[in-house]
Amino acid sequence: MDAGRPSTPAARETLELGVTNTSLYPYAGTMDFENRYASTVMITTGSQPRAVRCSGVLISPRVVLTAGSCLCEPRKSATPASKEESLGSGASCLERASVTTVTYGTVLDKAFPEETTPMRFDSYEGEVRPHPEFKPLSEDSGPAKPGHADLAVIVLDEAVKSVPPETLMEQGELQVHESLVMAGYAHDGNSQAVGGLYGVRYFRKNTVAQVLAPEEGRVLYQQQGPSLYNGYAGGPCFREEAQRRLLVGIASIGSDQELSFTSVSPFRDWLRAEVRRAAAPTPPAPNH
Amino acid sequence: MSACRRLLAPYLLTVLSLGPGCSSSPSGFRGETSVPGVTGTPLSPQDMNGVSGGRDDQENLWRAIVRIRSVGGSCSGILIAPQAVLTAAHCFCPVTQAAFNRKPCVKKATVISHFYLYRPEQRAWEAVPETSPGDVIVHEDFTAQRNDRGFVDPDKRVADLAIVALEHELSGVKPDVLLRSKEVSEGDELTVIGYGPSAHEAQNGGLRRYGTNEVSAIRTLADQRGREFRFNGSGAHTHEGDSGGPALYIDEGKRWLVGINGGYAENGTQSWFTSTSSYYDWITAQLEKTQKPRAP
Repeated sequence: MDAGRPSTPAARETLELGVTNTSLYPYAGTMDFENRYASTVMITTGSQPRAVRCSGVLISPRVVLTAGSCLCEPRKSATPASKEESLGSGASCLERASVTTVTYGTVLDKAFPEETTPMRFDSYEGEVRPHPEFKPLSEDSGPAKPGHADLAVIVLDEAVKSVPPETLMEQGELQVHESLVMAGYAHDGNSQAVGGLYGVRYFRKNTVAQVLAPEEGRVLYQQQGPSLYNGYAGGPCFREEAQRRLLVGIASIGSDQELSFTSVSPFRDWLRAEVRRAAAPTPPAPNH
Repeated sequence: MSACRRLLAPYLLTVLSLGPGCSSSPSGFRGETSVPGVTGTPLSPQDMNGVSGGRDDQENLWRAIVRIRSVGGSCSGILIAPQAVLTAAHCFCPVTQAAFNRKPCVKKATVISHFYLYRPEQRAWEAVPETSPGDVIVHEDFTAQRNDRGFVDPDKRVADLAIVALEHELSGVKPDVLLRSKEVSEGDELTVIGYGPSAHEAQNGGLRRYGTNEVSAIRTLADQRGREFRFNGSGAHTHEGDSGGPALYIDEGKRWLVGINGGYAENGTQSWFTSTSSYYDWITAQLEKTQKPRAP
């Protein structure tokens, strides 16, 4: 009966249909097709230009803020050293990363915005500069976990023109039960686009659950809806007021059991110094 | 390489041992579950770029390969006439462990063609969609069923083809394939195109990708008329979102349609296609029905 070789029993037992399950998209958040959070960018690395590693947020034309745990991992004895730089804290960080801004045009079919919206991508490259005190919570063989000062900036070789940056402003204390808006493309920090679609930016409201240690800036939050697409790794947390929004934190990765973000408030001086350094007349030579 | 994947229950058996930690998923999604996983090392690249083993269609070589969205999910398909797209029937009909029932098959779909506009000097590009709604015509003999482990039973699946009859033509997109009546042979090199991700369980779908592979096996379906062929081993493979996408035989620049993607097996290392040559008569009959007669 078979015209060719009979199929192997194993393959016949594992046949699956290759349809993308779109019923889960609503759990990713709301697609930001109005470009409200266009300052939220995708972060990729050269070897995987279409695999989103994390999100970040533009805080000046040349500085993107993201989570240190997105770009660093605890040092392992067998780690290849070629493309990494050393931190005294025992982390290995990438030296370079790519940043892509995404802006959307008019949605053609409101029922399916993820697939029917024109997208424009602009890519930039830059130098990774983790917070000097960043310390991943290390496990012998585990991945990076959010630790102290879980922040890093990417200082871009050229200024971003496609979207305006967020402005850093003073903020009050974070309150438990306070509602924050978070935005991003990637979840869990493992090259997984939220919802599985390249270039689709989502946002959703989350609630502050606990401020762990105010001086360390680590804050636990609760996600709205089911925890299907966990935290927008590296993406921004905003406090939204009537006339403005304040960048209050950066979501950490490795937070599948405990969702946390890093409050930017304790690290404001470092952030300002990085922005000033990037704006200085002689930028550091790109390191190729 | 990553954690918290949403896998069908059978995969649990193979993934459970990998490591700790992942949140629970909401209940109520049939076949959906969150499993413990590993995050691996975030610094070592593994995913390939393209339909695995292939590449992104930056040059718009394959504009006639379209994306199809319906409440049934997201698939790929191919424009075979100005207002007709050929795809897989299972994109529109629930395939369950119960005997196949065509009543719940969705009747409407939106077809999307993407033009990619690259400006390499700015390292910038745009994805420009073009859409048309359409009516879904599922092959009248289509049937499919899952076994008790949740996988699709290859012996209970026939005629996995559907046509989407478009409301209007997609501006700037022309059908550019020929229907081939001759069956593929083992060893034929075919080109596969689709909107699925670049690797099994990867999360970078939504871009048109293409690649090549060789036919490794052909077999007759349970209806004794239809056939299907497969790719094993290395080369391009298809994944979630690629269902309904074409396999083409390229001969001296001519593009011959020979198959429609029906699914994958073995964690995405096998791709299964319905032979379109074995349903040649049905496809041509549908084309005559769906294409409006031209005014003299």
